[in-house]
Amino acid sequence: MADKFDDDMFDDAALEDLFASAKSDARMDPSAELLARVLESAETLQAEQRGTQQSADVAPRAEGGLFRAVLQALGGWPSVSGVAIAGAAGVWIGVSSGTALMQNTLGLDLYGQNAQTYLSDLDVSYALSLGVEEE
Amino acid sequence: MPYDQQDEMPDDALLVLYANGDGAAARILTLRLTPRAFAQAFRMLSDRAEAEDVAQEAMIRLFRQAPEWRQGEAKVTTWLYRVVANLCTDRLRKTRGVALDAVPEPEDEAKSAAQQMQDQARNDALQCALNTLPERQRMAVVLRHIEGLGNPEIADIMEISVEAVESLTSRGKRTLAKALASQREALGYTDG
Repeated sequence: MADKFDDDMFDDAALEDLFASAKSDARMDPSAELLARVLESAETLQAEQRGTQQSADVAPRAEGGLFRAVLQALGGWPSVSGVAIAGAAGVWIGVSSGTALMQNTLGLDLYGQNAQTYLSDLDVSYALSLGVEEE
Repeated sequence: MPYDQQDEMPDDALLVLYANGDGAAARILTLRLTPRAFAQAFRMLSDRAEAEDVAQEAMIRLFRQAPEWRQGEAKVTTWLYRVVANLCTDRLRKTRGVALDAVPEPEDEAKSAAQQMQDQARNDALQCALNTLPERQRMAVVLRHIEGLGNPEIADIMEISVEAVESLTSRGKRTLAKALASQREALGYTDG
């Protein structure tokens, strides 16, 4: 809604005309020097930001390395501690149950203190490689 | 992407391109937004050097913000106008007293000398009248009637309600009308 003014005031239409004239006032245009300064700042900041971004992209790899990658692949510290506990429990069960859980003589040989045990008893491929060396 | 296609891209998309290292985006944003920042600052401060400083600072802040900019969340020009408004407010609080710079009017071949003189006289008169307005009224009037923004966007820029914007622009126009009344004939506005 257009404002209405008293007779001793500038009328609304004239005021709108002044506003329209002001929109095309060339003195409100920025100088070429200002535009050049702004563009220079823009390009400098852009280069700085790109440099920072690239450093940030590389940083986590340098910081964590292979161990962190393996840890993350396993599901982090909670998963790794679970695996460690399970392993320790397995060793304890094996030792505490004595010979009851052993299914062949190899276990008895390993468990006994006097019997001699050879690697070839664990894996025949050792026997083959030993045989080749002897030849 | 070809330069002319980028020239038609929205501001926020250009900001994303800028953040990704696109040199053309830096140029287009500079040419597109610096004039707006400068004009708003010049209207508020009436000092070319101060307005240039404000416009440059506002643009630098925009470019710094680019990597964090979330596309679609805010209008770039609204953000920029707000920064300019705040920078102008800071400067106005430090230095009171304003006068339009004696900047020579660029020559326009299409207009007669008399017409150019009258245009300049009208622009000067309006700027002088604007300078008499309280800071918030001046800001609202400039954004509404010269920059051509809608009241909701001005409310966003000035962080006030739409009703408050309407009140500021209405009171501002009344004050301008009073201030310019004595110059009506001198500025070429005659009855009828």
